[in-house]
Amino acid sequence: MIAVEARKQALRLRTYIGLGLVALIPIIFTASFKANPPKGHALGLFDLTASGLNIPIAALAAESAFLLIVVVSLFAGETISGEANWGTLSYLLVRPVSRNRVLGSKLVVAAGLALLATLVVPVVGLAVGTLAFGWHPITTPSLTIVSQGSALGRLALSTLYVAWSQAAYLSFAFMLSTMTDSAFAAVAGGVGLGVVSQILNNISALNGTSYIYPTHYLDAWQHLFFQQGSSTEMLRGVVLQLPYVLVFLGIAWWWFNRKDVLS
Amino acid sequence: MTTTPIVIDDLTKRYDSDVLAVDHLTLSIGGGSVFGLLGPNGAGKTTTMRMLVGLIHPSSGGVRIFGEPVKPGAAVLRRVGVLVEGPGFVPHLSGRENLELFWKAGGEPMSDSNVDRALEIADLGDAANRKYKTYSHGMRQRLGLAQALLGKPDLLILDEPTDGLDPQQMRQTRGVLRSAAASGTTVLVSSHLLSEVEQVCDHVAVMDKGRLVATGAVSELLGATTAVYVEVDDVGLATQVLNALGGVGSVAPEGRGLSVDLGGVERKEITAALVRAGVGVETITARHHLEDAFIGLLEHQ
Repeated sequence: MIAVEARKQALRLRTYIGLGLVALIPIIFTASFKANPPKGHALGLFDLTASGLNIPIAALAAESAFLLIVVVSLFAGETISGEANWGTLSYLLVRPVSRNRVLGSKLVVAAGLALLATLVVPVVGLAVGTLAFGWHPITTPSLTIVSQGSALGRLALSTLYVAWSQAAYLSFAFMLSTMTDSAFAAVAGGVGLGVVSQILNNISALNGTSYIYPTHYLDAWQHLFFQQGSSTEMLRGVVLQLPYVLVFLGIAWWWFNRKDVLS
Repeated sequence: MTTTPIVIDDLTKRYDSDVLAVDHLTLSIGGGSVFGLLGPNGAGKTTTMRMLVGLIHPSSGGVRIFGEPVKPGAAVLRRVGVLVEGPGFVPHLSGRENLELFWKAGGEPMSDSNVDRALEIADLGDAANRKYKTYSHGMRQRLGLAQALLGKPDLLILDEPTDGLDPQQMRQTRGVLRSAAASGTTVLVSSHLLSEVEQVCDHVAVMDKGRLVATGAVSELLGATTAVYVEVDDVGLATQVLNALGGVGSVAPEGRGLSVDLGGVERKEITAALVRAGVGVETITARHHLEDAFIGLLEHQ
């Protein structure tokens, strides 16, 4: 069932457009910094062009704020509603397979694609960055030198953190996908949650409550490289996703199991 | 000992608005026949069929297929082939890939299906390897029927399978249904066209506004229809003959033939009268639209 779903998505142009967009940003970064090397600090890094390892860090920071939200919502929001649009949902559910299994396979593949999209950022960033600026230790803004090996480890941890930090809007788009036949609405819902959460998080009058917004700790991983965030915040960020995931997926399962499938 | 393929027990579906889409429907469908579910659009046929395969949750009552209560994903569904409210396929995959994915999604081995045979039935030729989105309406409909037949089902549930097909494709489809029934498959087919049901079904249930109006052998049900369409080579002479025949209600020209209200006269009697008078009779069919059959049916009650 998971293999079938994976194959269905693997043969879709949309999947490659999503992954391609995500891969494009580190390439654009590298090209533009190669053409116009910034003077001094850029994107919070001490000297961006000093090492290829800086590129994936910068790209991850830039993409997690919006583009990844869009791509992850795209993968999650089209799961069930996309089938409804094709008219294939009925035929998926008239087989001797429980709805739980159908939904589970869809979720596994959507989450797998979201993880893949997040991984593409540092992998492409590392590749093009190293080609352009070489394989050197990085210097953080506090002038600490971080070796290549250590930087790679931190980058891996950061990537997983960013991937998990998208769980709330992934779950939200997935939930909407079980409720509406409009894939667009479900995707837009996921993006909306990510964007609104960031806006609310930036309103200082709401500071007292800002720690509940799903994107509040989105940048906490950056303390591994810059003076921003902390490991405590990272831990909170990880835990913060849980209630969102549980509630949204809980509703998705409840809804889908009692849904009358008319398309 | 065989179990009845479909037992519908007091099945009701009420949507949010107080409309009863299906209203306390009770019906048994026996094995190895082609059973027609007849009714005008909105009669509740599709809703009933969706409940038969666990897509819609009944408000009350239930369905058993081969003795097993139906719920979403029930194991008994592996014995059922379904085409409901038109075919649904992934547009960017070919007909063949679609059938393979459909089958694998059921978690069953490919060896239990027969994709090549199904594609033969769909009669797609080389188009089987073309993307589905390039298919014509008729090709899509035929692929949908082929998908329903993929797992050599013991029960076929087909919602308007000839919808949008041209006359030759309709005939092919009827052939497929008959040969499925001949090999022991029970076929439930819905239609809003009496002529369709008349040509392929042995038994029929008529639904209107969610309720069962009549059920029985097709021949019995047609006996209750008082309006027929008669196509003859000499319309003028035929009109005289039929008007002279005692008991015939009304005779009116329609297209290339006559619309005749039989009154109490049997069809074979008017055929005999016409032939005796030297009128060449092309066809006599029950009136094509169900509404007319309904009127006949209700007037007789």
